[in-house]
Amino acid sequence: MAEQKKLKLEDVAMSDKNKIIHGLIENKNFNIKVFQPFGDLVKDFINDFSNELKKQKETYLYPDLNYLVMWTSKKSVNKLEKRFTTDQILLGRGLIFHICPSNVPTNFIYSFFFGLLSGNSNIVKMPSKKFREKEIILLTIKSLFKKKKFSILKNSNYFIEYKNEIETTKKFSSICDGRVIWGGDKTINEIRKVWIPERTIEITFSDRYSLSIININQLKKKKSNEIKLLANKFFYDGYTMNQLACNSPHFVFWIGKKNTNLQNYFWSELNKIVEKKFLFDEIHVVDKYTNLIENIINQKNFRNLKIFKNNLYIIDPSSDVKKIENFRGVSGTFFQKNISQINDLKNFINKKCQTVSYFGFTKKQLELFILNNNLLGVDRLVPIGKALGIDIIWDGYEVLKSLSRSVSLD
Amino acid sequence: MNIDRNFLNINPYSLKKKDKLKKFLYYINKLTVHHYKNCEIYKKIIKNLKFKIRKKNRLENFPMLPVRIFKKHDLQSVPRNKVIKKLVSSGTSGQELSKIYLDKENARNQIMVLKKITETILSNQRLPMLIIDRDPKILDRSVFNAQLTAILGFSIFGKHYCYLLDEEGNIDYKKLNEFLKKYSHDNFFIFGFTSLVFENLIQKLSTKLICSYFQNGILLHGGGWKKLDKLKINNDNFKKKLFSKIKLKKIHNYYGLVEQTGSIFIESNECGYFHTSIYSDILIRNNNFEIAQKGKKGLIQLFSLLPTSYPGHNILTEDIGEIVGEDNCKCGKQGKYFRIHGRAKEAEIRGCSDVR
Repeated sequence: MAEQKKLKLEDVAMSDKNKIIHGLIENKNFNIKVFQPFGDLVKDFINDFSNELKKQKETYLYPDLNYLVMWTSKKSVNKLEKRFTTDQILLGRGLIFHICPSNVPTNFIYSFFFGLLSGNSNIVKMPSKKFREKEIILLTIKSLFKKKKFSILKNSNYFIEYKNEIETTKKFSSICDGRVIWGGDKTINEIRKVWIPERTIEITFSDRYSLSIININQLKKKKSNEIKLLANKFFYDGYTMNQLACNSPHFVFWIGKKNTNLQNYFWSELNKIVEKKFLFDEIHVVDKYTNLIENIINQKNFRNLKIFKNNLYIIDPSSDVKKIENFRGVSGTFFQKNISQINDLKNFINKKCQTVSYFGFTKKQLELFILNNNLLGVDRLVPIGKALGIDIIWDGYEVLKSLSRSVSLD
Repeated sequence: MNIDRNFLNINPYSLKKKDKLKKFLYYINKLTVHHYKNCEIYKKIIKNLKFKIRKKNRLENFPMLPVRIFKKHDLQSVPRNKVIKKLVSSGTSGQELSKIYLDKENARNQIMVLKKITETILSNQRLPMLIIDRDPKILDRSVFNAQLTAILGFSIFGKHYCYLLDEEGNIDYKKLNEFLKKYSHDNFFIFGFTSLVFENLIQKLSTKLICSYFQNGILLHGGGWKKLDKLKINNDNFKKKLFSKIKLKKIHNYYGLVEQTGSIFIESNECGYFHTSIYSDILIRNNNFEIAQKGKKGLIQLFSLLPTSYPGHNILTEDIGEIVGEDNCKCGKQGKYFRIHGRAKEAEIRGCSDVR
């Protein structure tokens, strides 16, 4: 607790009550406080959050909440702390203003925890859409804020919902020490026009593109149940968020000697899993078919459509395909291409590329690929099945370190 | 391309399944070939969906276009200089709108077929017409949208037009009473959008201020139930309210796409169902796009023989419906009869590409 600054909340949050739909805590005692990263109080809070969330009746119904329970568990936070170790003196920067996407239910809480773990006070703009997941998370936070031991956190963190009134964004921006923006390119550009103080830092998480790579030579050696297992993992990455998350894969690169039978076997296994596990709403199906027709119209490289009912659409773009970031599927539409070795992948990687989920490569192979190819993109490599996770290293930032201040002591 | 005049002259509800299908398939095949040859985008879609044009295709095998692509792309099967009219869908602000390009012949066929269908509920004489809207002359003409198109389109069945609403959107009792005094003793035609009919005739109209009830009126209304769903108003209580308030009993809902203007579906007063005409057809598809059986709900696919200047003859809508039967409706009309269950529910779009 090295720094304290009185902030009049009415200057920012309460000045126009009509526009602010909902603040979790209408708190006149709001104080900006900073802490050391991974401070005991914060760790205690996150641990209690995990336990409380787990206790909520509906949590088990939502895969993203289950993941959140796991992510916030003591074990997982301790692991993060171990990776964070530093010999620098670090403190939070002050107040972090988080602008989170409207259409992802749980993203805002990770952004908040990033701010908290790096030692900051936070104002979190939550999605304005009604998500049950969001409500469950807020109930959990509310119950924790009632505990006396967390009153400092209660008075230094603020959750808010508002439509995109620029005036509100201006007010929060004018007093923050760090601004974190999650959003599409257009939104980010618009928010970036809003002034922030000279010393304030900004991190943007913009629209990205993700893909998968599969090593044919390794897959070939696997038994059919192991291939099924891989298809199941791929299913989780590709279908959970209807392929609309930045880290959902759209393109699959098959690396090694082309093996049509094996590839088709993988897709047919995936199809079986989708058939069994995924429930399409009418609107999903319409969105998926519309997206398919849009791709046919817009992609000059569109070729060889394979339709596994409405469960799965597979497209082999023509061999001269280069720019892939506009090949985007919805609810289970994937593009595929064969390349002979991993280094050939470099031709398809640009700044847009975020997550590469992989199968059949060693970490060493992947490290060499990243280091030796002068790549501008790829911020994250994870085994297939883990694409939708979130980490303290995100979009190329060491988020926690970026949100904290280093003090040099000689 | 042209539709056979003889076909256009048949009573729109007179053909049984077998006779209709034979002719209908012939025209759908012809339209598919026509658009394939004349619309590059359509050709690209058909080719990539691996559809083979040949004579023996079944109706359900012809490739359908999702309705939303008319919002994002200009689809035309005639040269630009042949386009005489552009229709734009109605829609709330912020939404993208469908753009439909008509040449002279397509526009003419729309009117002709609309007339054939509408005549079955009105007479073949023009009737005095009460329009539940403002006078389009005072509306901004740059919004040549579906609403305006519909008013203008249906006005060919009327005469002595009276617009219920004044410039500010309030009921003009003076004009209304003049109209009722002159014409309400005999059949008259009432046209309006469902939500406006509800708002004005059911909610706002004061029966104390009118000189006559509407017992001789024939109401045709359309445009969707989205606004009324929120108020929990369905077709049944809509009709009941109109009858108890102003004694109106001939009430017809119509359903159609701006992409298939002309070949609309009119709810029959006797049975309460929508009916296909010989110019249109409907299929219901489940979530795997398989044909849903009679009585099963699913996505509505609509066919129309009218679109010749743009490839709108076979469209997958975003509406949910159910086929009740075919050729055996108690109202006596041949063809399929069906129910609509509203829009497919808007999904929670999840992703990280948007902040709102």
